[in-house]
Amino acid sequence: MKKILSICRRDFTSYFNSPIAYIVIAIFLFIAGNIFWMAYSNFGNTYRMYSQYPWAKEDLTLAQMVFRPFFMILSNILLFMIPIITMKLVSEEKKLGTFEFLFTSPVTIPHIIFGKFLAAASFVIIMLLTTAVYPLLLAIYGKPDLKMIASGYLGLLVLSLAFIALGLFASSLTENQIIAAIISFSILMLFWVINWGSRNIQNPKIADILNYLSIPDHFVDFTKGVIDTQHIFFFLSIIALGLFLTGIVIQSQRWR
Amino acid sequence: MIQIENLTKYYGLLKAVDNVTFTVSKGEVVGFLGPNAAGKTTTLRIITGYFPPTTGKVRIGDYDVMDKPIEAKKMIGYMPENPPLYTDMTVKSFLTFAAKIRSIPRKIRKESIEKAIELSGLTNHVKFIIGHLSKGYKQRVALAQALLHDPEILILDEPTAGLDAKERMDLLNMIHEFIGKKTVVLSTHILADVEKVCNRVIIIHKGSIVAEGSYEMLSSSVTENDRFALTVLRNDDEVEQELRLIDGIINITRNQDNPKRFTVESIKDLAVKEKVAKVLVEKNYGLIELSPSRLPLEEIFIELTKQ
Ligand SMILES: Nc1ncnc2c1ncn2[C@@H]1O[C@H](COP(=O)(O)OP(=O)(O)OP(=O)(O)O)[C@@H](O)[C@H]1O
Ligand SMILES: [Mg+2]
Repeated sequence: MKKILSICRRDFTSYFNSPIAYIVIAIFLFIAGNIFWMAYSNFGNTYRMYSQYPWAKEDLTLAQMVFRPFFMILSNILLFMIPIITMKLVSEEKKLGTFEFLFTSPVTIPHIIFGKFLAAASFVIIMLLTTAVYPLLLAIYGKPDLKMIASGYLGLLVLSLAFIALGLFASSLTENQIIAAIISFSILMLFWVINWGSRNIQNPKIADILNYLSIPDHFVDFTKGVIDTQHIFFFLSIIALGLFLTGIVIQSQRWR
Repeated sequence: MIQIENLTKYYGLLKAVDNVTFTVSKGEVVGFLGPNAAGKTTTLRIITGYFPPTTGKVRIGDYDVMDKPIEAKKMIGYMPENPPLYTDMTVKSFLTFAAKIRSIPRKIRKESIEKAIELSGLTNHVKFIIGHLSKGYKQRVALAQALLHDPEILILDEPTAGLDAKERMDLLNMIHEFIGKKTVVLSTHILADVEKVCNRVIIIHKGSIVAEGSYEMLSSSVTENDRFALTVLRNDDEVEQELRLIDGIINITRNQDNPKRFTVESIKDLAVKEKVAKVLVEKNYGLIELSPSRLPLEEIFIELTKQ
Protein backbone atom coordinates (compact mmCIF):
# COMPACT_ATOMS: atom_id res chain seq x y z
CA MET A 1 0.00 0.00 0.00
CA LYS A 2 2.84 2.38 0.81
CA LYS A 3 4.36 1.70 -2.58
CA ILE A 4 1.05 2.45 -4.26
CA LEU A 5 0.85 5.74 -2.41
CA SER A 6 4.44 6.63 -3.30
CA ILE A 7 3.76 6.04 -6.97
CA CYS A 8 0.47 7.92 -6.68
CA ARG A 9 2.22 10.85 -5.11
CA ARG A 10 4.94 10.96 -7.74
CA ASP A 11 2.48 10.92 -10.61
CA PHE A 12 0.21 13.41 -8.88
CA THR A 13 2.97 15.96 -8.22
CA SER A 14 4.31 15.48 -11.72
CA TYR A 15 0.99 16.85 -13.04
CA PHE A 16 1.96 20.18 -11.59
CA ASN A 17 5.38 20.17 -13.23
CA SER A 18 3.73 20.90 -16.55
CA PRO A 19 1.34 23.68 -17.53
CA ILE A 20 -1.25 21.20 -18.81
CA ALA A 21 -2.59 20.58 -15.31
CA TYR A 22 -3.19 24.25 -14.68
CA ILE A 23 -4.78 24.75 -18.06
CA VAL A 24 -7.11 21.79 -17.56
CA ILE A 25 -8.19 22.98 -14.12
CA ALA A 26 -8.68 26.56 -15.29
CA ILE A 27 -10.75 25.58 -18.30
CA PHE A 28 -12.80 23.15 -16.27
CA LEU A 29 -13.59 25.67 -13.55
CA PHE A 30 -14.37 28.35 -16.07
CA ILE A 31 -16.77 26.20 -18.05
CA ALA A 32 -18.39 24.78 -14.93
CA GLY A 33 -18.93 28.30 -13.56
CA ASN A 34 -20.37 29.46 -16.83
CA ILE A 35 -22.79 26.59 -17.14
CA PHE A 36 -23.91 27.03 -13.62
CA TRP A 37 -24.45 30.73 -14.03
CA MET A 38 -26.33 30.30 -17.30
CA ALA A 39 -28.52 27.54 -15.92
CA TYR A 40 -29.22 29.58 -12.85
CA SER A 41 -30.12 32.82 -14.63
CA ASN A 42 -32.19 30.86 -17.11
CA PHE A 43 -33.98 29.34 -14.16
CA GLY A 44 -34.58 32.79 -12.66
CA ASN A 45 -36.07 34.16 -15.86
CA THR A 46 -38.23 31.15 -16.54
CA TYR A 47 -39.41 31.16 -12.96
CA ARG A 48 -40.56 34.76 -13.17
CA MET A 49 -42.41 34.08 -16.40
CA TYR A 50 -44.16 30.85 -15.57
CA SER A 51 -44.39 30.50 -11.82
CA GLN A 52 -48.04 31.66 -11.74
CA TYR A 53 -49.09 28.68 -13.86
CA PRO A 54 -49.78 25.67 -11.69
CA TRP A 55 -48.89 23.13 -14.48
CA ALA A 56 -45.35 24.46 -14.58
CA LYS A 57 -44.74 24.18 -10.85
CA GLU A 58 -43.31 20.70 -11.02
CA ASP A 59 -40.57 21.49 -13.54
CA LEU A 60 -39.69 24.85 -12.08
CA THR A 61 -37.31 23.60 -9.44
CA LEU A 62 -33.60 24.17 -8.91
CA ALA A 63 -33.16 20.44 -9.20
CA GLN A 64 -34.77 20.20 -12.61
CA MET A 65 -33.54 23.41 -14.15
CA VAL A 66 -30.12 23.95 -12.64
CA PHE A 67 -28.59 20.81 -11.21
CA ARG A 68 -29.59 18.30 -13.83
CA PRO A 69 -28.16 20.29 -16.75
CA PHE A 70 -25.16 21.24 -14.62
CA PHE A 71 -24.26 17.61 -13.92
CA MET A 72 -25.07 16.46 -17.43
CA ILE A 73 -22.85 19.07 -19.01
CA LEU A 74 -20.04 18.47 -16.52
CA SER A 75 -20.08 14.81 -17.48
CA ASN A 76 -19.70 15.90 -21.09
CA ILE A 77 -16.74 18.08 -20.28
CA LEU A 78 -15.09 15.26 -18.37
CA LEU A 79 -15.35 13.22 -21.53
CA PHE A 80 -12.92 15.69 -23.10
CA MET A 81 -10.79 16.47 -20.08
CA ILE A 82 -10.04 13.03 -18.68
CA PRO A 83 -8.20 11.76 -21.76
CA ILE A 84 -5.87 14.73 -21.30
CA ILE A 85 -5.39 13.89 -17.64
CA THR A 86 -4.67 10.21 -18.25
CA MET A 87 -2.71 10.45 -21.50
CA LYS A 88 0.78 10.55 -20.04
CA LEU A 89 0.34 8.12 -17.16
CA VAL A 90 1.85 5.09 -18.88
CA SER A 91 2.94 6.45 -22.24
CA GLU A 92 5.45 8.82 -20.70
CA GLU A 93 7.10 6.03 -18.71
CA LYS A 94 7.51 4.13 -21.93
CA LYS A 95 8.85 7.10 -23.82
CA LEU A 96 11.37 8.06 -21.12
CA GLY A 97 12.24 4.41 -20.52
CA THR A 98 11.56 4.84 -16.82
CA PHE A 99 9.68 1.56 -16.74
CA GLU A 100 13.16 0.05 -16.63
CA PHE A 101 13.62 1.83 -13.33
CA LEU A 102 10.19 0.84 -11.98
CA PHE A 103 10.32 -2.78 -13.09
CA THR A 104 13.76 -3.32 -11.62
CA SER A 105 12.61 -1.86 -8.30
CA PRO A 106 10.73 -4.06 -5.87
CA VAL A 107 7.27 -3.03 -7.05
CA THR A 108 4.65 -5.04 -8.91
CA ILE A 109 2.52 -4.11 -11.88
CA PRO A 110 -0.61 -3.75 -9.68
CA HIS A 111 1.33 -1.29 -7.48
CA ILE A 112 2.10 0.76 -10.56
CA ILE A 113 -1.41 0.62 -12.00
CA PHE A 114 -3.22 1.44 -8.77
CA GLY A 115 -0.74 4.20 -8.00
CA LYS A 116 -1.31 5.83 -11.34
CA PHE A 117 -5.06 5.33 -11.18
CA LEU A 118 -5.19 7.00 -7.78
CA ALA A 119 -3.01 9.88 -8.97
CA ALA A 120 -5.40 10.72 -11.80
CA ALA A 121 -8.38 10.10 -9.51
CA SER A 122 -7.02 12.55 -6.93
CA PHE A 123 -6.54 15.15 -9.62
CA VAL A 124 -10.09 14.76 -10.92
CA ILE A 125 -11.58 14.69 -7.43
CA ILE A 126 -9.89 17.99 -6.65
CA MET A 127 -11.25 19.39 -9.89
CA LEU A 128 -14.76 18.22 -9.05
CA LEU A 129 -14.58 19.47 -5.48
CA THR A 130 -13.68 22.95 -6.62
CA THR A 131 -16.81 23.09 -8.79
CA ALA A 132 -18.86 22.26 -5.71
CA VAL A 133 -18.44 25.91 -4.76
CA TYR A 134 -21.17 26.88 -7.18
CA PRO A 135 -23.99 24.69 -5.92
CA LEU A 136 -22.97 25.30 -2.34
CA LEU A 137 -23.19 29.05 -2.90
CA LEU A 138 -26.88 28.46 -3.47
CA ALA A 139 -27.12 26.90 -0.06
CA ILE A 140 -26.33 30.31 1.40
CA TYR A 141 -29.25 31.97 -0.33
CA GLY A 142 -31.80 29.21 -0.63
CA LYS A 143 -32.20 25.64 0.23
CA PRO A 144 -31.14 23.42 -2.65
CA ASP A 145 -31.73 19.71 -2.41
CA LEU A 146 -28.44 18.58 -0.81
CA LYS A 147 -29.20 14.93 -1.35
CA MET A 148 -29.49 15.58 -5.02
CA ILE A 149 -26.21 17.46 -5.12
CA ALA A 150 -24.53 14.59 -3.32
CA SER A 151 -25.99 12.06 -5.70
CA GLY A 152 -24.93 14.11 -8.71
CA TYR A 153 -21.38 14.31 -7.45
CA LEU A 154 -21.32 10.62 -6.64
CA GLY A 155 -22.36 10.01 -10.23
CA LEU A 156 -19.63 12.30 -11.53
CA LEU A 157 -17.12 10.50 -9.32
CA VAL A 158 -17.86 6.97 -10.51
CA LEU A 159 -18.13 8.22 -14.07
CA SER A 160 -14.74 9.92 -13.79
CA LEU A 161 -13.11 6.85 -12.27
CA ALA A 162 -14.43 4.73 -15.13
CA PHE A 163 -13.11 7.27 -17.64
CA ILE A 164 -9.74 7.26 -15.90
CA ALA A 165 -9.49 3.47 -15.98
CA LEU A 166 -10.22 3.47 -19.71
CA GLY A 167 -7.82 6.37 -20.26
CA LEU A 168 -5.10 4.52 -18.37
CA PHE A 169 -5.64 1.55 -20.64
CA ALA A 170 -5.36 3.77 -23.73
CA SER A 171 -2.18 5.29 -22.33
CA SER A 172 -0.62 1.85 -21.98
CA LEU A 173 -1.06 1.16 -25.69
CA THR A 174 1.39 3.74 -27.01
CA GLU A 175 4.35 5.87 -26.03
CA ASN A 176 2.89 8.93 -27.69
CA GLN A 177 0.77 11.04 -25.34
CA ILE A 178 -1.31 12.61 -28.08
CA ILE A 179 -2.15 9.26 -29.60
CA ALA A 180 -3.05 8.00 -26.11
CA ALA A 181 -5.44 10.94 -25.68
CA ILE A 182 -7.03 10.29 -29.06
CA ILE A 183 -7.48 6.58 -28.33
CA SER A 184 -9.01 7.18 -24.93
CA PHE A 185 -11.29 9.90 -26.26
CA SER A 186 -12.44 7.49 -28.97
CA ILE A 187 -13.14 4.74 -26.45
CA LEU A 188 -15.10 7.09 -24.19
CA MET A 189 -17.00 8.47 -27.15
CA LEU A 190 -17.90 4.96 -28.22
CA PHE A 191 -19.37 4.21 -24.80
CA TRP A 192 -21.16 7.55 -24.96
CA VAL A 193 -22.97 7.05 -28.26
CA ILE A 194 -23.11 3.28 -28.28
CA ASN A 195 -26.89 3.06 -28.15
CA TRP A 196 -27.68 5.93 -30.45
CA GLY A 197 -29.91 4.47 -33.04
CA SER A 198 -30.43 1.27 -31.08
CA ARG A 199 -34.16 1.79 -31.59
CA ASN A 200 -33.68 0.94 -35.24
CA ILE A 201 -31.99 -2.36 -34.44
CA GLN A 202 -34.32 -5.29 -35.08
CA ASN A 203 -32.73 -7.77 -32.74
CA PRO A 204 -33.92 -6.81 -29.24
CA LYS A 205 -31.06 -8.67 -27.54
CA ILE A 206 -28.43 -6.60 -29.29
CA ALA A 207 -30.36 -3.42 -28.60
CA ASP A 208 -30.49 -4.36 -24.91
CA ILE A 209 -26.77 -4.95 -24.78
CA LEU A 210 -26.03 -1.65 -26.48
CA ASN A 211 -28.37 0.14 -24.10
CA TYR A 212 -26.72 -1.52 -21.15
CA LEU A 213 -23.27 -0.39 -22.28
CA SER A 214 -24.33 3.23 -22.69
CA ILE A 215 -22.57 5.38 -20.12
CA PRO A 216 -25.06 8.31 -20.20
CA ASP A 217 -27.95 5.93 -19.53
CA HIS A 218 -26.27 4.80 -16.33
CA PHE A 219 -25.29 8.29 -15.37
CA VAL A 220 -28.60 10.08 -15.81
CA ASP A 221 -30.26 8.62 -12.70
CA PHE A 222 -27.58 10.14 -10.51
CA THR A 223 -28.49 13.59 -11.81
CA LYS A 224 -32.08 12.98 -10.75
CA GLY A 225 -31.00 12.26 -7.20
CA VAL A 226 -31.47 8.53 -7.58
CA ILE A 227 -28.61 6.33 -6.39
CA ASP A 228 -29.06 2.89 -7.87
CA THR A 229 -26.54 0.17 -6.99
CA GLN A 230 -27.04 -1.30 -10.44
CA HIS A 231 -25.46 1.79 -11.96
CA ILE A 232 -22.68 1.83 -9.42
CA PHE A 233 -21.99 -1.77 -10.25
CA PHE A 234 -21.82 -0.87 -13.93
CA PHE A 235 -19.20 1.82 -13.38
CA LEU A 236 -17.19 -0.36 -11.02
CA SER A 237 -17.14 -3.06 -13.69
CA ILE A 238 -15.80 -0.59 -16.24
CA ILE A 239 -13.10 0.45 -13.75
CA ALA A 240 -12.12 -3.15 -13.11
CA LEU A 241 -12.07 -3.90 -16.82
CA GLY A 242 -9.90 -0.87 -17.61
CA LEU A 243 -7.37 -1.63 -14.89
CA PHE A 244 -7.28 -5.30 -15.78
CA LEU A 245 -6.65 -4.60 -19.46
CA THR A 246 -3.93 -2.10 -18.57
CA GLY A 247 -2.20 -4.81 -16.53
CA ILE A 248 -2.44 -7.28 -19.40
CA VAL A 249 -0.97 -4.79 -21.86
CA ILE A 250 1.92 -3.77 -19.62
CA GLN A 251 2.73 -7.37 -18.73
CA SER A 252 2.57 -8.59 -22.32
CA GLN A 253 4.87 -5.82 -23.49
CA ARG A 254 7.55 -7.11 -21.15
CA TRP A 255 7.42 -10.48 -22.85
CA ARG A 256 8.17 -9.20 -26.32
CA MET B 1 25.32 -14.80 -5.60
CA ILE B 2 24.21 -14.57 -9.23
CA GLN B 3 23.51 -17.80 -11.05
CA ILE B 4 22.48 -17.75 -14.67
CA GLU B 5 21.48 -20.91 -16.43
CA ASN B 6 20.88 -21.44 -20.12
CA LEU B 7 19.54 -17.98 -20.69
CA THR B 8 18.08 -17.35 -24.13
CA LYS B 9 16.23 -14.27 -25.27
CA TYR B 10 14.55 -13.66 -28.58
CA TYR B 11 13.32 -10.27 -29.71
CA GLY B 12 10.82 -11.48 -32.27
CA LEU B 13 13.01 -13.61 -34.49
CA LEU B 14 16.28 -12.07 -33.40
CA LYS B 15 18.23 -14.18 -30.95
CA ALA B 16 19.90 -11.57 -28.76
CA VAL B 17 21.12 -13.93 -26.04
CA ASP B 18 21.92 -17.53 -26.82
CA ASN B 19 22.08 -20.13 -24.07
CA VAL B 20 24.22 -18.12 -21.67
CA THR B 21 25.34 -19.73 -18.42
CA PHE B 22 27.58 -18.21 -15.79
CA THR B 23 27.81 -17.53 -12.07
CA VAL B 24 29.21 -14.67 -10.08
CA SER B 25 30.14 -15.39 -6.50
CA LYS B 26 29.82 -13.11 -3.54
CA GLY B 27 32.40 -10.36 -3.41
CA GLU B 28 33.49 -10.77 -7.01
CA VAL B 29 33.79 -7.86 -9.40
CA VAL B 30 33.22 -9.23 -12.87
CA GLY B 31 33.73 -7.42 -16.16
CA PHE B 32 31.08 -8.16 -18.74
CA LEU B 33 32.51 -7.40 -22.14
CA GLY B 34 31.41 -7.72 -25.71
CA PRO B 35 31.22 -5.73 -28.91
CA ASN B 36 28.16 -3.65 -29.76
CA ALA B 37 24.95 -5.67 -30.01
CA ALA B 38 26.57 -8.65 -28.29
CA GLY B 39 23.65 -8.96 -25.88
CA LYS B 40 25.15 -7.42 -22.75
CA THR B 41 22.34 -5.01 -21.98
CA THR B 42 19.76 -7.68 -22.76
CA THR B 43 21.42 -10.10 -20.33
CA LEU B 44 21.69 -7.49 -17.58
CA ARG B 45 18.04 -6.51 -18.05
CA ILE B 46 17.01 -10.12 -17.56
CA ILE B 47 19.18 -10.44 -14.45
CA THR B 48 17.59 -7.33 -12.96
CA GLY B 49 14.09 -8.55 -13.76
CA TYR B 50 13.24 -5.83 -16.25
CA PHE B 51 11.90 -8.51 -18.55
CA PRO B 52 11.86 -12.30 -18.45
CA PRO B 53 14.07 -14.45 -20.69
CA THR B 54 12.55 -16.56 -23.44
CA THR B 55 14.01 -19.59 -21.66
CA GLY B 56 16.45 -20.09 -18.81
CA LYS B 57 16.80 -19.25 -15.16
CA VAL B 58 18.31 -16.50 -13.06
CA ARG B 59 18.94 -16.87 -9.35
CA ILE B 60 19.85 -13.90 -7.20
CA GLY B 61 21.04 -15.04 -3.79
CA ASP B 62 18.41 -17.55 -2.72
CA TYR B 63 15.72 -16.22 -5.01
CA ASP B 64 14.64 -16.97 -8.53
CA VAL B 65 14.09 -13.63 -10.26
CA MET B 66 10.90 -14.81 -11.87
CA ASP B 67 9.35 -16.60 -8.89
CA LYS B 68 10.37 -14.14 -6.19
CA PRO B 69 10.93 -10.90 -8.07
CA ILE B 70 10.41 -8.56 -5.13
CA GLU B 71 12.95 -10.30 -2.90
CA ALA B 72 15.48 -10.61 -5.71
CA LYS B 73 15.11 -6.98 -6.81
CA LYS B 74 15.61 -5.77 -3.26
CA MET B 75 19.14 -7.15 -3.35
CA ILE B 76 20.11 -5.44 -6.59
CA GLY B 77 21.19 -1.92 -7.38
CA TYR B 78 20.97 -1.37 -11.12
CA MET B 79 22.39 1.39 -13.21
CA PRO B 80 20.95 1.01 -16.71
CA GLU B 81 22.71 2.03 -19.90
CA ASN B 82 21.79 5.60 -20.95
CA PRO B 83 19.87 5.85 -17.69
CA PRO B 84 16.17 6.54 -18.09
CA LEU B 85 15.13 9.18 -15.57
CA TYR B 86 12.06 11.26 -14.78
CA THR B 87 13.21 14.44 -16.46
CA ASP B 88 10.70 16.68 -14.69
CA MET B 89 11.70 15.78 -11.14
CA THR B 90 14.46 17.27 -9.06
CA VAL B 91 17.37 15.08 -8.05
CA LYS B 92 16.21 15.10 -4.45
CA SER B 93 12.58 14.28 -5.14
CA PHE B 94 13.55 11.47 -7.51
CA LEU B 95 15.87 9.89 -4.96
CA THR B 96 13.21 10.26 -2.28
CA PHE B 97 10.74 8.50 -4.55
CA ALA B 98 13.27 5.75 -5.29
CA ALA B 99 13.91 5.33 -1.56
CA LYS B 100 10.20 4.99 -0.88
CA ILE B 101 9.48 2.36 -3.49
CA ARG B 102 12.53 0.48 -2.26
CA SER B 103 10.87 0.60 1.17
CA ILE B 104 13.90 2.05 2.89
CA PRO B 105 12.61 2.64 6.42
CA ARG B 106 11.71 6.24 7.16
CA LYS B 107 14.26 6.38 9.97
CA ILE B 108 17.25 5.86 7.72
CA ARG B 109 15.78 7.28 4.52
CA LYS B 110 17.26 10.72 4.80
CA GLU B 111 20.62 9.35 5.74
CA SER B 112 20.63 6.83 2.86
CA ILE B 113 19.74 9.52 0.37
CA GLU B 114 22.45 11.82 1.62
CA LYS B 115 25.03 9.09 1.51
CA ALA B 116 24.11 8.13 -2.06
CA ILE B 117 24.24 11.80 -3.07
CA GLU B 118 27.67 12.16 -1.59
CA LEU B 119 29.03 8.94 -3.11
CA SER B 120 27.85 9.99 -6.57
CA GLY B 121 29.20 13.51 -6.31
CA LEU B 122 25.81 15.19 -6.51
CA THR B 123 26.04 17.29 -3.37
CA ASN B 124 25.78 20.59 -5.24
CA HIS B 125 23.03 19.46 -7.57
CA VAL B 126 20.28 18.12 -5.33
CA LYS B 127 17.83 20.88 -6.25
CA PHE B 128 18.40 20.61 -10.00
CA ILE B 129 15.68 19.38 -12.31
CA ILE B 130 17.02 16.16 -13.79
CA GLY B 131 16.16 17.17 -17.35
CA HIS B 132 18.43 20.20 -16.98
CA LEU B 133 21.48 18.21 -15.87
CA SER B 134 24.38 17.41 -18.19
CA LYS B 135 24.82 13.82 -19.35
CA GLY B 136 27.47 13.04 -16.78
CA TYR B 137 25.33 14.34 -13.97
CA LYS B 138 22.33 12.35 -15.16
CA GLN B 139 24.65 9.36 -15.06
CA ARG B 140 25.47 10.21 -11.46
CA VAL B 141 21.78 10.39 -10.55
CA ALA B 142 21.38 6.88 -11.90
CA LEU B 143 24.38 5.80 -9.86
CA ALA B 144 22.98 7.39 -6.71
CA GLN B 145 19.71 5.58 -7.30
CA ALA B 146 21.56 2.28 -7.61
CA LEU B 147 23.52 2.81 -4.39
CA LEU B 148 20.58 4.10 -2.38
CA HIS B 149 19.69 0.91 -0.54
CA ASP B 150 23.29 -0.21 -0.11
CA PRO B 151 22.59 -3.31 -2.21
CA GLU B 152 24.56 -6.52 -2.03
CA ILE B 153 24.65 -6.74 -5.79
CA LEU B 154 25.44 -3.97 -8.24
CA ILE B 155 24.69 -4.30 -11.92
CA LEU B 156 26.30 -1.48 -13.86
CA ASP B 157 25.71 -1.11 -17.59
CA GLU B 158 28.40 1.18 -19.02
CA PRO B 159 28.51 3.29 -15.87
CA THR B 160 31.50 5.38 -16.89
CA ALA B 161 30.05 6.48 -20.23
CA GLY B 162 29.81 10.26 -20.15
CA LEU B 163 31.71 10.77 -16.92
CA ASP B 164 34.62 13.18 -16.69
CA ALA B 165 38.08 11.87 -15.84
CA LYS B 166 37.89 12.56 -12.13
CA GLU B 167 34.43 11.17 -11.64
CA ARG B 168 35.39 8.12 -13.65
CA MET B 169 38.41 7.52 -11.42
CA ASP B 170 36.27 8.02 -8.33
CA LEU B 171 33.71 5.54 -9.57
CA LEU B 172 36.37 2.97 -10.45
CA ASN B 173 37.99 3.41 -7.07
CA MET B 174 34.64 2.93 -5.43
CA ILE B 175 34.03 -0.26 -7.40
CA HIS B 176 37.52 -1.41 -6.50
CA GLU B 177 36.67 -0.91 -2.83
CA PHE B 178 33.68 -3.20 -3.30
CA ILE B 179 35.89 -6.21 -4.04
CA GLY B 180 35.16 -8.75 -1.34
CA LYS B 181 32.17 -6.79 -0.05
CA LYS B 182 29.69 -6.47 -2.87
CA THR B 183 29.02 -8.52 -5.95
CA VAL B 184 29.45 -6.39 -9.03
CA VAL B 185 28.80 -6.97 -12.71
CA LEU B 186 30.33 -4.21 -14.79
CA SER B 187 29.56 -3.95 -18.47
CA THR B 188 31.73 -1.53 -20.40
CA HIS B 189 33.59 -0.87 -23.62
CA ILE B 190 36.53 0.71 -21.84
CA LEU B 191 38.87 -2.20 -21.34
CA ALA B 192 41.22 -0.15 -19.20
CA ASP B 193 38.41 0.21 -16.66
CA VAL B 194 37.94 -3.52 -16.56
CA GLU B 195 41.65 -4.15 -16.09
CA LYS B 196 41.66 -1.73 -13.22
CA VAL B 197 38.85 -3.16 -11.14
CA CYS B 198 37.76 -6.62 -12.25
CA ASN B 199 39.20 -9.88 -11.07
CA ARG B 200 37.37 -11.86 -13.71
CA VAL B 201 36.07 -11.20 -17.19
CA ILE B 202 33.20 -12.67 -19.16
CA ILE B 203 33.26 -12.00 -22.87
CA ILE B 204 30.04 -12.32 -24.82
CA HIS B 205 29.79 -12.21 -28.57
CA LYS B 206 26.70 -12.53 -30.76
CA GLY B 207 24.70 -13.62 -27.75
CA SER B 208 27.04 -16.39 -26.57
CA ILE B 209 29.85 -16.45 -24.06
CA VAL B 210 33.14 -16.89 -25.91
CA ALA B 211 35.50 -16.75 -22.96
CA GLU B 212 35.43 -16.38 -19.23
CA GLY B 213 38.00 -16.32 -16.47
CA SER B 214 41.00 -14.42 -15.17
CA TYR B 215 43.26 -12.55 -17.61
CA GLU B 216 45.80 -15.39 -17.56
CA MET B 217 43.12 -17.87 -18.49
CA LEU B 218 41.81 -15.64 -21.24
CA SER B 219 45.26 -15.06 -22.53
CA SER B 220 46.03 -18.77 -22.67
CA SER B 221 42.76 -19.40 -24.45
CA VAL B 222 43.88 -17.11 -27.26
CA THR B 223 47.52 -18.16 -27.56
CA GLU B 224 49.59 -21.18 -26.64
CA ASN B 225 52.74 -19.13 -26.33
CA ASP B 226 54.44 -17.70 -23.30
CA ARG B 227 55.03 -14.00 -22.90
CA PHE B 228 57.40 -12.18 -20.65
CA ALA B 229 58.86 -8.73 -20.28
CA LEU B 230 62.46 -7.82 -19.59
CA THR B 231 64.40 -4.66 -19.07
CA VAL B 232 68.13 -4.10 -19.45
CA LEU B 233 70.34 -1.16 -18.63
CA ARG B 234 72.78 -1.24 -21.59
CA ASN B 235 73.23 -2.04 -25.27
CA ASP B 236 69.60 -2.64 -26.13
CA ASP B 237 70.22 -3.12 -29.86
CA GLU B 238 72.77 -5.80 -29.15
CA VAL B 239 70.35 -7.44 -26.73
CA GLU B 240 67.76 -7.72 -29.46
CA GLN B 241 70.31 -9.42 -31.75
CA GLU B 242 71.27 -11.88 -29.04
CA LEU B 243 67.70 -12.71 -28.19
CA ARG B 244 66.85 -13.45 -31.80
CA LEU B 245 69.54 -16.12 -31.81
CA ILE B 246 67.90 -18.09 -29.04
CA ASP B 247 65.82 -21.07 -30.14
CA GLY B 248 62.14 -21.01 -29.26
CA ILE B 249 61.71 -17.26 -29.33
CA ILE B 250 58.91 -16.30 -31.64
CA ASN B 251 58.61 -12.57 -31.46
CA ILE B 252 60.33 -9.62 -29.83
CA THR B 253 58.84 -6.18 -29.48
CA ARG B 254 60.45 -3.10 -27.99
CA ASN B 255 58.51 -0.81 -25.75
CA GLN B 256 57.82 2.43 -27.61
CA ASP B 257 58.50 4.73 -24.69
CA ASN B 258 61.40 2.76 -23.27
CA PRO B 259 63.55 1.00 -25.88
CA LYS B 260 65.40 -0.88 -23.14
CA ARG B 261 62.21 -2.76 -22.28
CA PHE B 262 61.28 -5.78 -24.37
CA THR B 263 58.24 -7.98 -24.62
CA VAL B 264 59.21 -11.46 -25.69
CA GLU B 265 56.90 -14.14 -27.02
CA SER B 266 58.25 -17.65 -26.85
CA ILE B 267 57.15 -21.24 -26.96
CA LYS B 268 55.91 -22.59 -23.66
CA ASP B 269 59.17 -23.94 -22.30
CA LEU B 270 60.98 -22.84 -19.18
CA ALA B 271 64.33 -23.67 -20.79
CA VAL B 272 63.86 -20.71 -23.10
CA LYS B 273 63.48 -18.31 -20.22
CA GLU B 274 66.46 -19.78 -18.47
CA LYS B 275 68.56 -19.37 -21.61
CA VAL B 276 67.47 -15.77 -21.97
CA ALA B 277 68.39 -14.93 -18.39
CA LYS B 278 71.71 -16.69 -18.71
CA VAL B 279 72.72 -14.89 -21.91
CA LEU B 280 71.76 -11.47 -20.61
CA VAL B 281 73.57 -11.92 -17.34
CA GLU B 282 76.69 -13.43 -18.87
CA LYS B 283 77.03 -10.60 -21.36
CA ASN B 284 76.50 -8.15 -18.53
CA TYR B 285 73.74 -6.10 -20.15
CA GLY B 286 72.41 -5.11 -16.77
CA LEU B 287 69.25 -7.24 -16.59
CA ILE B 288 67.02 -5.54 -14.04
CA GLU B 289 63.61 -7.03 -14.83
CA LEU B 290 62.33 -10.35 -16.07
CA SER B 291 58.63 -10.82 -15.46
CA PRO B 292 55.71 -12.74 -16.87
CA SER B 293 53.52 -10.71 -19.14
CA ARG B 294 50.23 -11.27 -20.86
CA LEU B 295 48.47 -10.17 -23.96
CA PRO B 296 46.84 -6.80 -23.56
CA LEU B 297 43.11 -7.20 -22.94
CA GLU B 298 42.41 -5.37 -26.18
CA GLU B 299 44.19 -8.04 -28.17
CA ILE B 300 42.47 -10.87 -26.34
CA PHE B 301 39.15 -9.16 -26.83
CA ILE B 302 39.62 -8.53 -30.54
CA GLU B 303 40.92 -12.05 -31.07
CA LEU B 304 37.94 -13.61 -29.29
CA THR B 305 35.33 -11.54 -31.04
CA LYS B 306 36.90 -11.64 -34.48
CA GLN B 307 34.57 -13.79 -36.51
N1 LIG C 1 13.92 -3.91 -27.36
C1 LIG C 1 14.51 -4.51 -28.39
N2 LIG C 1 13.79 -4.94 -29.44
C2 LIG C 1 14.37 -5.58 -30.47
N3 LIG C 1 15.66 -5.85 -30.56
C3 LIG C 1 16.46 -5.45 -29.54
C4 LIG C 1 15.92 -4.76 -28.42
N4 LIG C 1 16.93 -4.50 -27.57
C5 LIG C 1 18.04 -4.98 -28.14
N5 LIG C 1 17.77 -5.56 -29.32
C6 LIG C 1 18.75 -6.23 -30.20
O1 LIG C 1 19.38 -7.25 -29.46
C7 LIG C 1 20.77 -7.32 -29.75
C8 LIG C 1 21.57 -7.18 -28.47
O2 LIG C 1 21.39 -5.89 -27.96
P1 LIG C 1 22.02 -5.39 -26.60
O3 LIG C 1 21.46 -4.05 -26.34
O4 LIG C 1 21.81 -6.43 -25.56
O5 LIG C 1 23.56 -5.29 -26.96
P2 LIG C 1 24.77 -4.71 -26.11
O6 LIG C 1 25.74 -5.82 -25.97
O7 LIG C 1 24.28 -4.09 -24.85
O8 LIG C 1 25.34 -3.61 -27.10
P3 LIG C 1 26.03 -2.19 -26.76
O9 LIG C 1 27.43 -2.47 -26.45
O10 LIG C 1 25.91 -1.45 -28.07
O11 LIG C 1 25.27 -1.56 -25.65
C9 LIG C 1 21.02 -6.20 -30.75
O12 LIG C 1 21.06 -6.78 -32.03
C10 LIG C 1 19.85 -5.29 -30.62
O13 LIG C 1 19.56 -4.69 -31.85
MG1 LIG D 1 24.36 -2.22 -24.08
